[in-house]
Amino acid sequence: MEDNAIIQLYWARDEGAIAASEKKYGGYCGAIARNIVGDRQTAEECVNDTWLRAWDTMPPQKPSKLAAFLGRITRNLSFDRYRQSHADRRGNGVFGEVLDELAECVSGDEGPETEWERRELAEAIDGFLRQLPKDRRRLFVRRYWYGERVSDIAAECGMTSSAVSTALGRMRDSLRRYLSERGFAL
Amino acid sequence: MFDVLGDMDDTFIMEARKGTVYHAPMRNMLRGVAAACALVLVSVGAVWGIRTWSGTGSDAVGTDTLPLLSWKGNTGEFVTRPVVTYGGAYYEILNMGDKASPNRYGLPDKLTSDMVGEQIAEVRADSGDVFTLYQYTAYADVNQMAVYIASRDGAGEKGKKTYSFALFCNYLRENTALYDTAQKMFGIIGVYGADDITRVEIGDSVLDSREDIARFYDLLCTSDAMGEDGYQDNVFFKMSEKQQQALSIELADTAMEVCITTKHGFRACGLTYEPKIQYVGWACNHYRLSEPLV
Repeated sequence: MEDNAIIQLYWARDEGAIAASEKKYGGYCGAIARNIVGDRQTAEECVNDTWLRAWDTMPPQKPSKLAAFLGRITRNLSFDRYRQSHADRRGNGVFGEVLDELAECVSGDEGPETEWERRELAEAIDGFLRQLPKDRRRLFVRRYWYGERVSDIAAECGMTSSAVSTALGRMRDSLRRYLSERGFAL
Repeated sequence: MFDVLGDMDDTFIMEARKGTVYHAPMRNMLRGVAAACALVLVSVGAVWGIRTWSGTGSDAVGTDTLPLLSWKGNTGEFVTRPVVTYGGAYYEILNMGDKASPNRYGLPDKLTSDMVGEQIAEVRADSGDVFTLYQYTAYADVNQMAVYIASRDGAGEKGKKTYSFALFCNYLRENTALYDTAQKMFGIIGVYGADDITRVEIGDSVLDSREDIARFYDLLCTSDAMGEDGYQDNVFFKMSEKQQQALSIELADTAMEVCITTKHGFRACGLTYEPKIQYVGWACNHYRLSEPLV
């Protein structure tokens, strides 16, 4: 089913929207959730919650890219779950490695304090990503948005794991410099 | 940080989705890429050599047993080059014995140990040879993917490593309908705006003023981009075979090589301008311009 048709189902308050979302994006959202929370059962719960959250937000929202919209909901829900279960420890499991790597890009644990600061930072990160070659940008997004394992990224991109790690390390360094030059001292 | 990254542009999220990666090259695709590599890397004069490959016997690209880039060099002899894949793209290993080859791209003809940067990958050519890829230190901090250094273990005397430049040829691609925008191709050579270019050569003409270079850059960036399929459909639409052949020959005879020198000193000479139809070819991409380049 086309994305627009699925969105119309949501807007028409037709419960078929959830079945259609599950059918088309269940695997996609499930993979995102599994990358973050680790276990299958929690991941399934996150995916089910995704459809409910989508139901609550459409209408009024009408996303232009449904996959990104649903994926983002899954990612946020999964990250919330991860934080709840890892409140007192970091660097745990594959996803913990992702967080540790990202922590290198900022000087402290504190995130942006206001919504405005967060938006400014997000825009700066978009600016950084926009200047990267597409292949490099995809590596970055797959690791730090989708939370994928380095070995999985390497296998799909025809690279060695060490090459992926090296490329990611360089991009993290570049991001840190890029943000620093723009006055982001987080 | 992970939380804030969640807000990134949808376009980047979609672009990185699984299932959109390029697949491993098939042998017939490699042939096409080899031709594309040659188009990128050799002069217009040498390109005519490509047209004769199909009838030149076992030394030519096109045989199933020769998975290497092969082209007729200035000497008239067919030479072969290993082609390796890295990061979703093909790279040709330059012949450092031919000094004119690296010099043509603004690169030194001798590689010293201080030029060999961080190791980035081990890659296997179809020939079975394993190459190690390194950063080229002069470009290590440049956001580019056009130039790396490759070494093959045991290739030199007494098993020593030998180093060569590895230059971007083209992306791995099975679908000839696909193409890359001019902006993306510029990005490969580290150009993200007209200010990153210091000189453009189009045939015998040289553009070196900021104004002319900016016009060149803008013309390409605002062109209609297309792949091989789109080019064939647009240029040869409803022509008889004879007419197609005649036009092909005319385009080839009037084509002009375009070389771009970047502010980092790299000279990319893989572009071909076809003034008769106002198209620029770059790897397997074609750009229809809104007005003549020169």
